[in-house]
Amino acid sequence: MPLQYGANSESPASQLPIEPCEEILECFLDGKRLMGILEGIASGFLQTVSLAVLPYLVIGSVFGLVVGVIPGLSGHFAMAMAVTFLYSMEPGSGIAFLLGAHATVSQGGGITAILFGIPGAPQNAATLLDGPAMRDKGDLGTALGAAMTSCLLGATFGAVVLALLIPVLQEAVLLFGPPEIVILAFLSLTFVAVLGREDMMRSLIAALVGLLLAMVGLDNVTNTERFTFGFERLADGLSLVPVVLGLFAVAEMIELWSISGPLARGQAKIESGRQVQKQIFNGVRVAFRKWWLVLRCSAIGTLMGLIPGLGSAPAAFVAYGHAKQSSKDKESFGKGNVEGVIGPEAANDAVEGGALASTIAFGIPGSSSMAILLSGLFILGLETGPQMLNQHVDIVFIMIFTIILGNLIGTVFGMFLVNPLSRVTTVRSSMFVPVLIAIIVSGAYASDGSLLDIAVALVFGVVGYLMKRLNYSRAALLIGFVLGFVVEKNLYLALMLDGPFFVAEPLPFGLAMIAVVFLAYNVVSIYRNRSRSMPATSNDVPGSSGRTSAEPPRNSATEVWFLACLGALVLAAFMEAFRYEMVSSRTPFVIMTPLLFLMLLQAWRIRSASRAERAGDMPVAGSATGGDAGKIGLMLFSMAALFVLIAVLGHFPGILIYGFLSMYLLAREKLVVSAIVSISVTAALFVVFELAFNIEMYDGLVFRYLQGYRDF
Amino acid sequence: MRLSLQGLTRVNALRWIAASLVAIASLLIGGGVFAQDARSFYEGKSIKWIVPYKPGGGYDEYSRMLAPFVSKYTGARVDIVNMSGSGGMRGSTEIFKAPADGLTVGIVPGSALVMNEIAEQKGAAYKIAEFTYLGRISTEQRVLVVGAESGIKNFEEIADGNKTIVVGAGGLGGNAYVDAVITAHVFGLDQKLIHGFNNSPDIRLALLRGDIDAWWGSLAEALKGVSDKELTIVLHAEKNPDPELENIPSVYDAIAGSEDEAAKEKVLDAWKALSVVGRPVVGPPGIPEDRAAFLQDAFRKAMSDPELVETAEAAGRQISYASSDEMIEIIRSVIDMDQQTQELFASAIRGEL
Repeated sequence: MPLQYGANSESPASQLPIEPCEEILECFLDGKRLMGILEGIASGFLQTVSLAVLPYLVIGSVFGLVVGVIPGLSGHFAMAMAVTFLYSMEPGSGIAFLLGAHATVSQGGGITAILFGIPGAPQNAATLLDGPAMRDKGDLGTALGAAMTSCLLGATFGAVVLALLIPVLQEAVLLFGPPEIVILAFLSLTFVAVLGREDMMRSLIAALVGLLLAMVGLDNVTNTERFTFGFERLADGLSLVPVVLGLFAVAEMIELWSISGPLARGQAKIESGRQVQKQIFNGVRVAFRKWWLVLRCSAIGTLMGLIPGLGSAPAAFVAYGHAKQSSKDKESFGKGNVEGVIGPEAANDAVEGGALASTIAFGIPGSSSMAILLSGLFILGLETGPQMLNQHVDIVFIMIFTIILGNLIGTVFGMFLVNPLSRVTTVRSSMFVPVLIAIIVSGAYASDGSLLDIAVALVFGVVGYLMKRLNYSRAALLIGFVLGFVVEKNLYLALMLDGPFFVAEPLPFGLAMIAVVFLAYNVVSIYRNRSRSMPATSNDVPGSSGRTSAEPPRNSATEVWFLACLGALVLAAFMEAFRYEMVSSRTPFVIMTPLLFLMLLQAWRIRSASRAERAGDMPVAGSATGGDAGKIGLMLFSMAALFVLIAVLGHFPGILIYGFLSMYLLAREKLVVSAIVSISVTAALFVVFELAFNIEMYDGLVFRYLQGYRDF
Repeated sequence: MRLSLQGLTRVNALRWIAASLVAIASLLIGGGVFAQDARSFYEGKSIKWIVPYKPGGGYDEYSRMLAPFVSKYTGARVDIVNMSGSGGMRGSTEIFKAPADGLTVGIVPGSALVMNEIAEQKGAAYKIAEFTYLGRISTEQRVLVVGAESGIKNFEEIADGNKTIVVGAGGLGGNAYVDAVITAHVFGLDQKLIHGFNNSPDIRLALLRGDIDAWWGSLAEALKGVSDKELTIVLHAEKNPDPELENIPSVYDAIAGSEDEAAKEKVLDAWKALSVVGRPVVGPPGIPEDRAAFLQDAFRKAMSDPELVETAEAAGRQISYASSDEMIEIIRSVIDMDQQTQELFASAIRGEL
């Protein structure tokens, strides 16, 4: 029987009141409290599967899945949308709907990541390292099956840990303050060493650039706008969604455009629906067979979920790093190893359980999504915190079962989505690229209603493309970018609160030791590998100038230019930082000094390597995989034009004209085909964004002028 | 053409074309009847309601709670648009710049806008006194809270100066920061102010962990911790306190009988006036008078709708309506503070106090 609670309702008689207790042991032994929790489990489960709640759970989960599939729209958005429907709902149904919509977003995002090589949500960026590679090998179904199953298992793990923590939830949340967060974030940063072990120099440069990018924006300690270079809108910093979309999605589109041909490369034939289905079940089996990996990566996700402000994107990368580090077959990572899909997908869903902890324990949200959940609960007349733990523990279990069942529903529906979506990957790039670029810029704008974000996504697209071509790890950059701010902020607070010896406190000290041991282990293993002279992989570069380079010489000139441009920017930032107060400039200096040094070193290495090659009469012609420079130029021009069109004419006219012209003029498609495709895609985006999701896209300067805006 | 365009709701190509067709048709048939009265103007239109923060905060919650009622009394659809950035300044500026056709309104962080204007902060591209005010949803009641871990029971233990208290705050020049600096200045407190926390959830966690002793927060946020016995309110700023604040001294009690009481009271009054600005609902300057009056009337009716009052109470959201005339008066009184006080506040906001 579904129970209903209003804000003022008394706790029902069936529920035993649970006394708050201090001693952890006592909590578990306290029979009355245990009984209360057991009854909460039963009541929570029965409510979740009751006919009054289950339909909302299904609707919410499917909605979340669809939001996840659309690039740029993330869990935060799914929840914000769902909140508007809560006013007329009962508490149980409302929670199932709201949390269900949030729980399945990473699943949907994983589908997009594997199928199209673009992240559906930021936390799926790590899945891109191996997912699309599996698709290209013809293991599309296996990758998807394994990803969705790992999501389900990870979410279940996180939810179960949350349930087990209930007696000590408050204590667990309070364990993590600024000192602990600094060390944990630093520990996560050291995973760059694992991710980029094949090419440490370039990975370190990428990670440092990421850290530096995190410094952009207002430093609220001194109210200094750092590195905004006059762009007022940059004061809020670069947002995660457009950066991820640019680095991975737009970059992928540029590459695809430059080499033409369908998205799914290397896939000899289109698999039949039945074959994909068979592969999916195989993927499910693989995920279960790798249960120990799933468990460890889920634990990483849940732990990182407990830390306020970290979010799920770094958790997924750390899990990927861990999967790679612990694997026997490290070399195949990045080339379609299923463990590289299982790890991040398990972690990014396990985050949910951890993230709920502080929200439930104290009503203190650890992320923007949790803040929306909290408002949603307010609307439903529920209040989290000790009161809920003590009197409405069944509500907590509704949340827990919603996460588990929601992911189950997401997995089932996701499998149905795969087949129709996988047909799309065989469309040729001349049509596919303009369409996806239109979707990507729509997602980039919608996440925060900012025109700047479209520009950020496009610029980072170029950066991401160059990084991919030149073998700079985009994962390392992203880890640096996500964690840079967390490290700086919490380090500042830890120093202010506990002084320079905060590391000496028991918990931070323990964590710091783990970080040191971990780092030492990696340095040693990398050194050992190098002296053993590992066979060259595609990720490999010469360790010393004496070895023949695996690197095609055509890249060296590009890379020198890339480093020169980057170096000029960093130097400008370096000079700029002298104007800031010490508190605001010290972290940037700590980042930029080694960065400049490493870039110089790298440039010198390339020069000496390419000279050695020239001496050895190496062919200087471009390789077959290299893109057509003219085509890339046109693509960049069309992207710039797209931004101008959107800014001047508005979002939908902009993407319509862009889509039509790039298909008809640049890709030489037939007039009718170009017109039909561009019109129908624009119409579909209009229906989805404006009508279904009610997001107002940019009006364009012309229309704003006609409407009577004072300035733009 | 310009006139009829002003009446359009937003840019979506299809509606745009449809509306132009209708406008042309109505021109042909009705002979250009533009002098509609305000009610029929709003009928079937949609009002863009800008919230200058992301979903999931107080401003967003108030707006979503109120939207159906504004819709009910205007006959227009209310579309909530979240436009976060620059601590609420981006969305507020967007309202200020919007066309004055009465179809764009929004909720703004009143005291922050006033403070930024006083301190001449970059990005304050608006004139607080020029907005068209529909009224006010609620005020900010500021209270000083201490965490259970601090061991502090009441304000006297803070004021006697035996121990340096550690106070937490968000950004430099933010609400909690200015509150702490101004009150410490007035009371001569021995405090260590640690600012730079990301947001109020982070500060509340620090209070619970005992990392900091005290924090200036809003009553609504503080009360939650109070009911869970994690926080204690030790000081408030109200002259006529709510029942929740009974037996808790106010800032005025704290200065009673001290030297320079009058001078201190003047500063406290100015500080208090900032929070009275609260959360106003505004439109851009220059909305036609009949439409402004219609909106103000609809807002008043929405705010006093018994159903809304009940919803707000159930959600624990305090509402305190003020009319547009009262708001203009409040704003005027804040802006007209004397030179010395204004400089004091400006230096507090810039972190120079």
